[in-house]
Amino acid sequence: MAALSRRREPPLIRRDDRGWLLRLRGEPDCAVDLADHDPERRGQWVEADALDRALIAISSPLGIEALPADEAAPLLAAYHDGVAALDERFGAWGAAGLAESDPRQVDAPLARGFVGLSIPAGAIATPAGLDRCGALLERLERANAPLLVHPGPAPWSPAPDAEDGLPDWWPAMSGYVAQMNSAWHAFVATGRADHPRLRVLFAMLAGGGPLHAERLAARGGPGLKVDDDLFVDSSSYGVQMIDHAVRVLGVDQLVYGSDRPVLGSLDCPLGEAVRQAMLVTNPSRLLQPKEVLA
Amino acid sequence: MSASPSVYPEPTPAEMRELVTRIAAEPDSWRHLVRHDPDRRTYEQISRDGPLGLWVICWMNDHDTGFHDHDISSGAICVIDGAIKHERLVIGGEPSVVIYGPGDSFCFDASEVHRMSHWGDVPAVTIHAYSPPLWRMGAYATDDDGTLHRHSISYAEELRPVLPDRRDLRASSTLSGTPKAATADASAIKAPGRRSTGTSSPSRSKPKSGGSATR
Repeated sequence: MAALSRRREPPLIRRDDRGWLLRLRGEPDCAVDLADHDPERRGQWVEADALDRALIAISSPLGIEALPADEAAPLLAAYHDGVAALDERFGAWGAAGLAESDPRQVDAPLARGFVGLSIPAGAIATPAGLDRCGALLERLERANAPLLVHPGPAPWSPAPDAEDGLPDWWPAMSGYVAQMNSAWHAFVATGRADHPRLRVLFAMLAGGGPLHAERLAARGGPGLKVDDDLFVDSSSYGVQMIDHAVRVLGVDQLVYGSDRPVLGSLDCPLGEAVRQAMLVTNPSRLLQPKEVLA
Repeated sequence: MSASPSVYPEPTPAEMRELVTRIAAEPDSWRHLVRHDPDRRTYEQISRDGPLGLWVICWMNDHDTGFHDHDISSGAICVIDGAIKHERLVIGGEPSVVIYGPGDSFCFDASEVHRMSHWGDVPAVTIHAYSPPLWRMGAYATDDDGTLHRHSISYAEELRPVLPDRRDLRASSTLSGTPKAATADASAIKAPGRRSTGTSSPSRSKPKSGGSATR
């Protein structure tokens, strides 16, 4: 937050008579309650949600990974240092600047105990984007660590300027969904073939990408074959969409996710067995190295 | 306008029966998934795609599903090892019972209400096909007055059950609402005032020998 408050261009936070505001490219200004980012409050939420451990990811919609390297570096360092200092109730995903896609950016967070790497969906929303990030993904795959795909822009896919008067929920229901859906289908198109062993978690049910499997097949794409190493998380979704995902993918590819602290957590409303799968069994499969690579 | 072919052509129950019989003869695809647990059936998914889910299920110690249905899924089963008792619910009478042994197969459509349990002393292994892949299931239980209740459950309740040591931690209010009261091996979570449809004593048939039977 301190690093963001020192910036003069988005992403930044500013204080005015309404309190703290977050300003991003392509999104309406939104209010930020800094108390929601207090580590102790976050820790209490972890306990209130009956979690053993919560994994934090950088908020990719801020566009930090898409900034020029010299601007991204201090913000990424602040993020890594900040979450690395959290107590045992937390783990975290590493993040990498994309302007200079140096694969060594994968090694440093993993060496510090980060569980894997998160990447903005806009960076891999097309096969060409996957190619641009190929070195990063290959490094991650070789390290036997998972990838988190989260809504957010890349240098080559900037968010369009926001129109005046958009409701606050607009980005989350338009650009984010489109990015995630495109990233899912890009991975289906070429990503899996190029990275056959990479374990990938798509946030927010991959923007509904898997739910379009029939349409994909009808349009000449590959028929659905459930991939044991592709996971989707449930952030901001409830019983109806999660139930749809269970129908299409089965329960074994679902992982619990939340949008804390932007939103409160939602329950896993499909019974204790689904809860166990989403909160314990499946995250274990996602996060644990499958085997040592030769 | 002529009908267009389905995006995901779903196999018929008879086709699935042929499929599970064929897969039974290809142990490389499932043998590594065979794992017996004295306390529960084990379920391992062999594969899942748009129209079809394939599972290998291991049974011992009279493991019992209770009466259930598969919502909109049809299915087929082939017995590899051991024996399975298959019961179909009969209103006003004892269940219809058939024992299936190694090499036997059978299929069912989505309308069927049935129950399967381990039979005999030899641990059993079965191959199952479901189309469309399992999603929701119906679990059946009766009240003290005999009224039948169907509980809609995620297939995970049946095939990805909570581990026993975690079950003890669950709040009683959750337990009483859990519809697995219809399964005999879930007696720990049987709701007060409810009687499992699995508690009656069906007439026992002699183990069926050889061949196959479509029920």
